[in-house]
Amino acid sequence: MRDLLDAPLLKLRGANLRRAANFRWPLILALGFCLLALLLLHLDRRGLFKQSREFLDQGLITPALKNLGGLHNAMADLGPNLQSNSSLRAENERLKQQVSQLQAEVLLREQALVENARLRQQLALAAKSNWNLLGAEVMVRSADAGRRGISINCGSAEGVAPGMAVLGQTGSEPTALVGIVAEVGPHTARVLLITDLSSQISARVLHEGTATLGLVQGQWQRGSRLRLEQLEQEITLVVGSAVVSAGLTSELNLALPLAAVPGGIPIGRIEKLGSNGHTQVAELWPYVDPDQVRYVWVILSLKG
Amino acid sequence: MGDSQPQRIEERLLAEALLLGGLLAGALIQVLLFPAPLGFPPLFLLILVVWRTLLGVSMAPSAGEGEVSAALRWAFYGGLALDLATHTLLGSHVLGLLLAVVSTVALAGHKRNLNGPFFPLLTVLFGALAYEFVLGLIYHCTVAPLAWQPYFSTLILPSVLQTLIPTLPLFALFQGLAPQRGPK
Repeated sequence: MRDLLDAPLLKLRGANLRRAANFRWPLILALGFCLLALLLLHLDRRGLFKQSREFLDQGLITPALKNLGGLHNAMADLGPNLQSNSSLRAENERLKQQVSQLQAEVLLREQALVENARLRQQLALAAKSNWNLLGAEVMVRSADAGRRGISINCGSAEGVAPGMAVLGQTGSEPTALVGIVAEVGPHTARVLLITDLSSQISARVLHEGTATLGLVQGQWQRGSRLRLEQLEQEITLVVGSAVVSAGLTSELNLALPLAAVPGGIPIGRIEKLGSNGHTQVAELWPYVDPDQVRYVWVILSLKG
Repeated sequence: MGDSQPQRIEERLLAEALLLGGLLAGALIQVLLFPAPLGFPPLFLLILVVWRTLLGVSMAPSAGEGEVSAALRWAFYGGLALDLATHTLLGSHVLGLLLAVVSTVALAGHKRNLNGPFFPLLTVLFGALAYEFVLGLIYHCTVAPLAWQPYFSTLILPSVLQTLIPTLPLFALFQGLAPQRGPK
């Protein structure tokens, strides 16, 4: 490593740099690129690139993501078998081919098992809930720390629309809300995770037969996960109480069309209680960590 | 990619298109294939752009300006690729990567001893700080106001530290893959 890094390409000689330090044109170019980026930012905020981005997304990005997603899964599944493959190289060609075929079958079976488990989860969820669900795979996560969003491999062609609730499940926790569909393409959708600062969902705290109304806001960019606000000061709340969606978001004048989020979806449980003077506030621990989910379910509609 | 001096305009356009395509592939690798133990991936494209910038400023004085301009183009295309791959506002990652290039050039211009493994780490550290700060600022201005102190301690710092881990192996990998060129 050290030898590689000390190779001539990365030996930055101070004297040479000082002689070559007249970076006037690159500076002008950098300023030009920055202005262009600001212009793009402004125009994109106004929605001027919506159609061309959708075209690029469906024509280029989504097919590439699907191919790479397959590669990702194949690499993850092949990893444990690589060592046995290498030891089998010493064996004759017939045995090697046989092993290779068996490995392919094992891979297919493992993939089928995962798919089977996911569909069983969906069936169980659909049976005990009042929702019509659509299963989807998480394709892309945020590219950096400051954003909380995912892309899923279902879109308007499958019936997904902005404002629909997206559920997930990890471990033994209940199936819970992980986000809201924010943008939809023909075969992909962008989901704003509930932990993002710009996410706000009306919610109810369930405690001793009461259902106190509040507003759940994402807190990822502020250093935690979820915060429940606007709780009446007089209500007695306890740590550990369950918080579910209230289904009232259509009545709030928010930027996202959240009318499709039904009530009663588990969100999390109260971890810490506090006050901001006029109202109570609570830190929430979400039932599902949105960063850990690989498969999600979109609530398309209510049954009946 | 992007380093040749094509004579004809169509060759130049093809080279730029190939560069954009390559960086788009890099962006997809960052958002899809890189493991994200903390819930977000290491900034693979930032490391690539910083490496390209250092490669540029380490060239001979005669080639210095053109090579740094090439690094700026990498930052611009790389940022666009990240914006396209992750559905963020066009220009946001571009600004982050451009600032990372500028910080790298500034750092390289002021450092006397630039050899060894610590300088790449230092440039990626400053580049990542600049990148995350710009992205936070854009979020603050366009989406929702941020509280900067917790944002720094819980998001920027872990992201920067996580990005430093693969820096040296990736630098070695890029250097091994890059066509060998001597000072012009």
